[in-house]
Amino acid sequence: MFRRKMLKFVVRFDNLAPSFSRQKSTNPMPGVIMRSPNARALSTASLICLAILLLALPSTTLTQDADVDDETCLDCHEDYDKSLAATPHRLSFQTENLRTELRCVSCHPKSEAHLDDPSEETMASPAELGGRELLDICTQCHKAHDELDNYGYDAHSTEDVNCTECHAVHGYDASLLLDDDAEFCLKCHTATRTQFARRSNHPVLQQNITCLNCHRFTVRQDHTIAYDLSSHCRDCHPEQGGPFLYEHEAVNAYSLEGGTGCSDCHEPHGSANNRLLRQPGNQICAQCHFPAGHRTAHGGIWADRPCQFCHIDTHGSFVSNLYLDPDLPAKVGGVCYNSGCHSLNR
Amino acid sequence: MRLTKLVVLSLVTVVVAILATPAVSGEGSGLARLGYIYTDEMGNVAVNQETFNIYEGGNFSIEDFLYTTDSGLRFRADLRAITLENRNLTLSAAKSKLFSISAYGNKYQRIYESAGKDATKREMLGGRVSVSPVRYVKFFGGFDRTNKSGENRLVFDGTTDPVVLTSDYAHRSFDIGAEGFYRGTNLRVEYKTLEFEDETGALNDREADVVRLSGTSPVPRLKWIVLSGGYNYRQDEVGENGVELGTNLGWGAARVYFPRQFTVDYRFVFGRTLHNGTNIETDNVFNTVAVSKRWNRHGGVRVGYESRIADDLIDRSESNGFLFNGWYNYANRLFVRGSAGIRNEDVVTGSTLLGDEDFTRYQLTVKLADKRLGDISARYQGRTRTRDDLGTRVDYNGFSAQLNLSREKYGQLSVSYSYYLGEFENLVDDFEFSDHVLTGMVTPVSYKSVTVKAGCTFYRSRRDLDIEKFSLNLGVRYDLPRDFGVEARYWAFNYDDFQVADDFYSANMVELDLLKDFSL
Repeated sequence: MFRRKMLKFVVRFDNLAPSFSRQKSTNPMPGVIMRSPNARALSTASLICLAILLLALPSTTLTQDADVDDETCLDCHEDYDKSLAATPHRLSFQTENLRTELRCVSCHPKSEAHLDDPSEETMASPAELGGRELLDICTQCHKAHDELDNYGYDAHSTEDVNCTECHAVHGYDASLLLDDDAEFCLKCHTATRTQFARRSNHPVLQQNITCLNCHRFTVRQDHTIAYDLSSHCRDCHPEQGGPFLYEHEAVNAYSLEGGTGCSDCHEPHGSANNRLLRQPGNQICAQCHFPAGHRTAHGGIWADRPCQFCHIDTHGSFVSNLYLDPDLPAKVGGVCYNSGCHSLNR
Repeated sequence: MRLTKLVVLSLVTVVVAILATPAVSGEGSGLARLGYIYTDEMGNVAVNQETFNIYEGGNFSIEDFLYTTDSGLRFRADLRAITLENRNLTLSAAKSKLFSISAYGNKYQRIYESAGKDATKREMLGGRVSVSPVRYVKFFGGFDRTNKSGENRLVFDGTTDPVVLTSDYAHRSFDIGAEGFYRGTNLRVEYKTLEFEDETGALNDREADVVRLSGTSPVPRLKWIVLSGGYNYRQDEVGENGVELGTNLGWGAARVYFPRQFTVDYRFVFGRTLHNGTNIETDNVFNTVAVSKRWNRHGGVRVGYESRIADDLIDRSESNGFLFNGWYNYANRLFVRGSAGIRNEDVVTGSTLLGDEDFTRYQLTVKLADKRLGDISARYQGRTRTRDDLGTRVDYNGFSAQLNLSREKYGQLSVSYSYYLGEFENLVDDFEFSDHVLTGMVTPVSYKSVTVKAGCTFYRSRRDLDIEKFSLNLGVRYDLPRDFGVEARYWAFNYDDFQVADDFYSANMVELDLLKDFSL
């Protein structure tokens, strides 16, 4: 079944290929590449910048530290010998299946001073380092988050939150997180914690989901639609995710009416209103829509109705381009529709 | 009490692991909890989300179980509320850099009717496997399933004739992939397939396939330049209607580390989405460049520019944005962090409903820390969104402050207060709210085998809303000989919406547990 599906997928993929060749502008001289003076100036400036950049930079080499063997360290720090054995950071001499040369000094460089004076002050602990100094140690083996994340900004990196503030170097988990519980993240993100106390909220404090369900720190996140934050929401709320025959464009961040997608109407952490909505009742619709006739037509009999009484499929519909309830004719008595004045698409 | 296959499997795994321990040398530990939860509720059970998943009944949990063999094999289990409907289970076995296998199961509900009649239950189940057969390669795969069923109320607040909708669907996804890495270079390829099966009507059934290729690498001989990029293709298809949505997404990025801790980042994203229902093809192009400068552990600044072009052949919009952020750290005692961003979007061709949009955001955090005492912090954040063509505006401001005190001799105290003000100018019917949230938590040090923990949260929403929420929790644990213990936990909840008659809720809940800290 998997093979059949894969084959089907490849065929689909091939079919889509011609769409890349779409012509968006008409060229009066076919075969001649048209360039505006601005584009030419931009290209020249880019080349000059690149040349300066290449000439100006010295080559960099990794820092080499004095050779202090692990046995010397473990003479005093014998507990670490045991605790590291089952972790991804186990020392190289502890395993027959050697993958990476990992020693105490790999993460604790400049340890000679500590040999001479074995006090806490002379210990080169990564947790005490910051910025590039710490990154230089961790990135010997790992990619920095902000190098993996091509899309947004890794706020932790740009505000100098050290690797060791979230990761336990001597820990057990594959991701080495100190804790993946929401309480751990909320120790620093105190403002966010209080948002979860609002009237409606995502069940994070109840431990049904964790912060990491939505906030993924590496490029492995599934950005399914171009730069679409809503793709995270679709993982758990696929019924609202579409695609629909009649899309409500506000739901899709890729569209020109899309804004930020789901979060245009919903406050993801917690809201003063029901269903995480930023505004209650009809007000959420009134931030973009106000069909005046709705309040006055037919003597104003619909004026007090909530929008969703009729427009039930607010996330998108397969039957109505107005997102109307397919059963609306029966619901309102059928007069509006049987008379020929209204239909589900008018 | 209904034990699912996953619960049985989880218990069997833990029992097998415990029984097998004499044959495999190693050590392990965990906490077993056996008890009962009593609940006493009155009022509208659909308004207080914190109590949606607290069930009355016998409760058995195995928490933070970890067994490590001498060869480095690790077994983990965290099986919470196994016997109750809000069970939350995770299991894993792993050997670093060789393999890992894990499974999870999780269940929770949402209530939409005052007596609890209309509710939806969500059940999530999944597992992941990864294997590294050779030094630089890892294969991985996973499965996730979400089932949701029940009755959901769709209509907005305050209506007398709510519309009740039935949900009953299964959402499954499988993924498989491989990753290679060598000296700072990694390359990853993934395939994922998703299926959505709606039992209430085949009209909604759909499936999707995703292929993704991504990689990151420093430039050979120029290690101070790191390049990354990738390509993602996704095809969604609704079977019954023939609606298809296809997305091609490509991206590239470069980071250049200059001397003196200067860094330059550049990112480019191109996305093309084709919807066959409307036959509209939408392009999104992003270019972002940012320059950063650090002063090692003392501070840093970052200035950036972002442009976005969105084009669907009928309409075209362009936006330009600037961002700034900076941080300062004085001797690990004073931390200041701030950021600001503006974005202006103009519709240059055609016309859209939303029209031009201006967006600003800014935030500032100040924290004072003392290693012996604790810390005190304050944070301000503001956001403004203006749509001039449409004539709408949103102003959102938030302020929060927190005090954490910690003394080895006495224990810990944490108090926080937040204030949020939201002002929405709509086409009609403007909306305003102001929220006050006060939280407190105290954990004194254990005294003669007694450990106490207490916390409370007070929430008040004013202006166009008038809601008050309060919760209190208190826990007392008494340690008995042989690593046994007893624990009593008490929760009180109160909710009032003063604008809606009879919209109140009050509850008292008590849990009594027998605990056993076990080691193997």
